[in-house]
Amino acid sequence: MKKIIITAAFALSFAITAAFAVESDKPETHDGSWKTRHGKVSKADESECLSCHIDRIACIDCHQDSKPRDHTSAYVYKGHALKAQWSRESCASCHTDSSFCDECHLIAAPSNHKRGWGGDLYNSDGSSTGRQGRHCTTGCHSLVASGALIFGNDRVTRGCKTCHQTLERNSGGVHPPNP
Amino acid sequence: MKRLKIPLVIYMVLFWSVFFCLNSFALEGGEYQTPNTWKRHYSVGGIKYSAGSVAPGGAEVALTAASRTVYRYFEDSLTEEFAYLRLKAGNIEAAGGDIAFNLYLRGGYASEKFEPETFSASRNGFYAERKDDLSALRVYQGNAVFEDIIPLTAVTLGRQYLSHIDTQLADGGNIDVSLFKKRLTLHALYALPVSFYATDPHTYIYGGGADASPSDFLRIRAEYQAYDDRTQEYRNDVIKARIDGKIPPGNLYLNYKRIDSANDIQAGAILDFKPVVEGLGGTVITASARTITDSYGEEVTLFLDPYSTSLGQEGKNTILAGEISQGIREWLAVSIGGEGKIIAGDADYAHRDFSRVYASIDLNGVFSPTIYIKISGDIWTAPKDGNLKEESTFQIGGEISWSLGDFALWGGTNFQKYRYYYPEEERTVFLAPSLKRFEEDARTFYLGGEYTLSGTGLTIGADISVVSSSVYSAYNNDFNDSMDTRAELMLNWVL
Repeated sequence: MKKIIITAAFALSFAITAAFAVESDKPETHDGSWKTRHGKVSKADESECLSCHIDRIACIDCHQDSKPRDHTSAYVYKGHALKAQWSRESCASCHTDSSFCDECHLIAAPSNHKRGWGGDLYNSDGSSTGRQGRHCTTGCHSLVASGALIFGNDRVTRGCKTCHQTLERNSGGVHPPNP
Repeated sequence: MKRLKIPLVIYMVLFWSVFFCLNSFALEGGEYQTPNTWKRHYSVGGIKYSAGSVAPGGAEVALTAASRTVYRYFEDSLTEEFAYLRLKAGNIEAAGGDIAFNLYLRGGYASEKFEPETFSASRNGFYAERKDDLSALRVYQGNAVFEDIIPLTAVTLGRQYLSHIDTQLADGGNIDVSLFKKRLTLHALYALPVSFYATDPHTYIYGGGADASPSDFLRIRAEYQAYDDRTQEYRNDVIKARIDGKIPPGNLYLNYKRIDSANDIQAGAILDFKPVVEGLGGTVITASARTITDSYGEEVTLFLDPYSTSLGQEGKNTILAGEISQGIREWLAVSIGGEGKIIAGDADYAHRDFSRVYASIDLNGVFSPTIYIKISGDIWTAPKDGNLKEESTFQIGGEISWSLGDFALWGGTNFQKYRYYYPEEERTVFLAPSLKRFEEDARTFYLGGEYTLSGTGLTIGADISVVSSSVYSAYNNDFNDSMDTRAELMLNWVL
């Protein structure tokens, strides 16, 4: 009986405290679903947003200035590639800057470009060197899955082209320079 | 055991029945808000306040400064520092109108310089902005607005967000002419789009449009913009149109964009229903459908399509999305949503079907008046298609916010899993594709807080986050430390 009374008192005290909302000076529309729908709402009538979010400072803060929490180094290394391939729209709410992708992909080598990655498959005169660089036998961004690994197939070279943007289709000739 | 079970049942019934029976004063109108620190769960840093408003009736100056120092330990230690300055001067009367000035700067510095063509998991977007230097300056806004100096017009000159149907940061000028008591606004612009990552003095935008509200329930907009790159001698013509209609529970919209010959059409609804049952929360429903009828990206400026050079052309596709959020009692709200993409044509790694399902639970003021808890998760799936294997990601996490007078605390955790296929290295058979299935995860923990010194406009905050992931050891077996730690110290000062 004692335990029941204590529990009831405990529950009642929680209920009383639940009678008050969390501290917030935001309008009632800014509930838990606001994160996913505020973009669409702002497009309908931005002036209503700007009455509080003056000069878009809050917009810049989230969408331009500091990266979101899920953009960890693990995400930069692996996750972003998957989601960008499937839904570039999901990136576009923040990454509207023209060269953001390129500035990393043109400069930073991926992790598999380690010793043994490069190397000539053929000499410039077309003769075989007898050496096979690993880049001939692997690929980037799962591009191999998009088709047969045939030299010159545009779908195959697509993954390489993420960084090596001047890559031309060829049938085993000279490779393009580094980006 | 039997003697313990009966009291336990009574405890549970009493505990939950109190919640379900009592009414609350918190749920006025069927809605309840997220706390002020909600934003900290999504990103840390930046200027905390928008420098307030410049009150009408006289010229005023609002100044805000902020500083953020990030210390990171991963492969090596790394320090990044950011400083923010925001200045707004408004309601300066001149020549029968008003002038306002707006400036927002961010300076950044980092202690590390990464060698080009060298992989580093510590490399981030800030490096891409800095290039070889250790510092970078961003001018987010630097403009002057002249309102009614020329009657019925607002002229904005300088770095500004051109905000019409879409928003674009650009350097230049925009003029709005408002007619018929602002029921009709015409605009014209000429500007150079801004990139923080590349210098491009050659592309410029010019165009104009109209924004008409024939009634309080209807808004129609149309505009034309040309993106002209004089160096490469190509030009993209963009036509946009949008209709917004207000209906009792919300808004319907139809959006059209045409880039050269490619059409992008989107229609949707955002509906906010007040509760019909006393004690039950409101219902929010969003739904949209978008279709791109032609591939584009081959000869489109990066300012219109920043992804094509890395991912290839945007192919024909249709995206359907929907979400429903329901308040249940005063302290609970649940949301569930989904999104699906259906492509046309052959699939490849950057042009394939995918689907996404997500859900969240909000707990408002359950354990304390000022505690807010959110639990959320989502699953992305790209199904098997021809040679493409099924791939997916999964994430689940929780966040908590707690206000204690002038203090605010927040914390959260997140677990992510990636399942994907990647070509297997060190194969011995040439011309035979071999894909290996990878399954990697990442765990994030963060904790932060801030204190506002009453009456001073000064806020001091700190945040620490740790990422632990199997992804790191996959690329470097010698890298035993699979944790990436960030500690941030923030200062905000509103004058």
